[in-house]
Amino acid sequence: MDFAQFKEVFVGEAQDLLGRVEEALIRLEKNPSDAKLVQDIFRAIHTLKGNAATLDLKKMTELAHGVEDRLDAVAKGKAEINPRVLDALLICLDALRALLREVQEEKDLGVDVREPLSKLEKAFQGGESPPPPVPEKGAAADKAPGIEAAATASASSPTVRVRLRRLDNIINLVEELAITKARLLQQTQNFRQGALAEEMKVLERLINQLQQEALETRMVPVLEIFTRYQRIVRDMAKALGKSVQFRIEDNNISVDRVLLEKINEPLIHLLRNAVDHAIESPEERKKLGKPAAGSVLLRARGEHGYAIIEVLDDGRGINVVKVKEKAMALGIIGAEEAASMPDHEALHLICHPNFSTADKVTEISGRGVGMNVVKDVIRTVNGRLEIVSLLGEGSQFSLYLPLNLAILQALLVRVNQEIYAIPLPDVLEIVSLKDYRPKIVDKLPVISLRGEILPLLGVAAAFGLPDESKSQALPTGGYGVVVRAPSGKAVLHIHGFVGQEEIVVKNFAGFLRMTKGFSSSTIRGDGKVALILDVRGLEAKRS
Amino acid sequence: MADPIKSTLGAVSQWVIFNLGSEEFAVPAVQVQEIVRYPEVTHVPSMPRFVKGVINLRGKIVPIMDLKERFEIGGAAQALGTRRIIVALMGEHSVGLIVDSVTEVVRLPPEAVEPVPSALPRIEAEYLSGVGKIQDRLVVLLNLERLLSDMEKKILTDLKGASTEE
Repeated sequence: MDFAQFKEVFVGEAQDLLGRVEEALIRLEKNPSDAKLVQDIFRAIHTLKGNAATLDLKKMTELAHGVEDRLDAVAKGKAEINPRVLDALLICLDALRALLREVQEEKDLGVDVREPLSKLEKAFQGGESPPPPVPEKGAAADKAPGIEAAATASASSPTVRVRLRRLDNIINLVEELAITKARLLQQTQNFRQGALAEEMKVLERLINQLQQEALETRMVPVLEIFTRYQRIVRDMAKALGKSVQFRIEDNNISVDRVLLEKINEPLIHLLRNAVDHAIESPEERKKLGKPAAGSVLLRARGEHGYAIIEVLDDGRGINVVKVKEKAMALGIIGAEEAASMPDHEALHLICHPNFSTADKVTEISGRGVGMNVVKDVIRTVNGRLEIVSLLGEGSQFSLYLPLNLAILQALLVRVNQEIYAIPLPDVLEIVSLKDYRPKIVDKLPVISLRGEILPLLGVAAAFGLPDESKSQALPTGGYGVVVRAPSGKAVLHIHGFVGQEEIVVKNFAGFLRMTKGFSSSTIRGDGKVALILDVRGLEAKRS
Repeated sequence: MADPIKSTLGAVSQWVIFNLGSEEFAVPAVQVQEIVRYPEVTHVPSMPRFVKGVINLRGKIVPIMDLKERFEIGGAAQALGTRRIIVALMGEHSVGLIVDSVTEVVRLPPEAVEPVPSALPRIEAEYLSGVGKIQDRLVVLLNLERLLSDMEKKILTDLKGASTEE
């Protein structure tokens, strides 16, 4: 059998199987007597063993066989699941994952099969008293109803495995098709009549539907990815001696798979922070009159154009005063700036590359990405981060992500002779500068909008575009686009409007990603490329 | 789309010959994806001068760079419409190299390729694979990989330099 040919299929399926095993194990922890879960795990491991044996992967076959054997005993009532056994099973699962990595990378990582197996053996023999079980077992049992639903749904609807690259190629082609369609419609509008007009209409509708369907193919329910965090939170809480009740609320949201993969690391970091830094020790919580088990909620919800993914905890909350003090000590902000900075803005200081709120660096939070990486990743996907925190009561980190990476409602504007797109979610309102005459306040042009003084930014200056108007005089004509920038509202001065359009976002690749002020572009109906203004990039320019 | 680079550099190599000003250059044909006319270009701010902007290549966004400016070759500016863009791969992504004109694709037997002469003006010797002899013409053979990775490095340092100045 040609190994290379089957490797990819095998690895993909094995990852699925191990993911299912992990999910079932975590649920088994809450319901140790659930025979169906044991069956599920047994079946998945059995399939994996069969596949591994076909490819002559000896170590994986041996380990899977050992686990299968033990689970069989449980199913037959000869042994039972206890916390020690669950721990050992999770260790075996990790070893299976490591072996899978060996297959993927085609090199020997020196994964030992005997040790996890002997641990499993010992766990079943028991003898000594098991370690204290994870608390709040009963309480957690009725949580996460969504997982149940998803599990049954995925079992009933047939699926095929498709390479992401192939999917991307299809999406790219469909996008081109849509652009060509737009161009064709534009060019033929004057002599389109009768039967031809009818056919064109049908064609247009079909292409629109095709585009929608193609984009949907990459959408996956967030729940599919969320379940993997159960294990992570569980392991962290255990290692840190914290008692944590982890809940998932998915609200049936689906998001582009590529996007979900991108925010994986940021989410892990946020969850780690919640368990490690936010949730107090059980004793401390008792003293504060809080329930002994801290609660961490991972939630997804939708709001026009955005999928919002949030991590909420009922822990310590962030001390804004301390954050400011530390930022001053680190020289990130000055004393004056600190005094005038509103709390919601000050919370974002923790995302500064030089900042870390951890007074003591624990083993867990010492690894992984920092808050600055969290913010960076969210920026690269055109999303934004919002932080709310109440001292003593908890924190909420909200990741606002564009529901679809590929399609965006945008305002197309003209600056000099070039056309730029501004994402509509960033636009608050549009005003005519004839009605709102700009003034100079503190040497900077501003406009006064219903009593609010907002900075007026020349798009050219703000985004480093070639500036044709050399004069420093106040702009008198044109329009102001009020946008939501990270540092507050700002008004962009533009020369004219092209209109509002649904645009297909083409992300920059390679060195183009380094440009400031533009993270992506779009192709217009006439085939020309238009840059998408990155309003979030304004923050860096102004400060 | 052209096939990704397969190393087929055997005894006989194929080269795409182009002009920059009055000089003749060539890049390995296997690395060339396609050659297109000079399209409408969208300027991208804050890039080094030799990066002219981005173009739409059948739905793909491709940055284009002016080789003449990169090599600092003077001469009368040529009408944009007559210039050509050689699309090649830089890592995983396509880039377009602006040249004055593309003349031909030639096969060069090993004996027609000579090592890089010690003194070549303007162009750093490390970007060169050698010099090709076609009858009485001498064609400068470019090492595209090295040239492109150096250009990328230059762009990145330029961008970093610009952001620290702010």
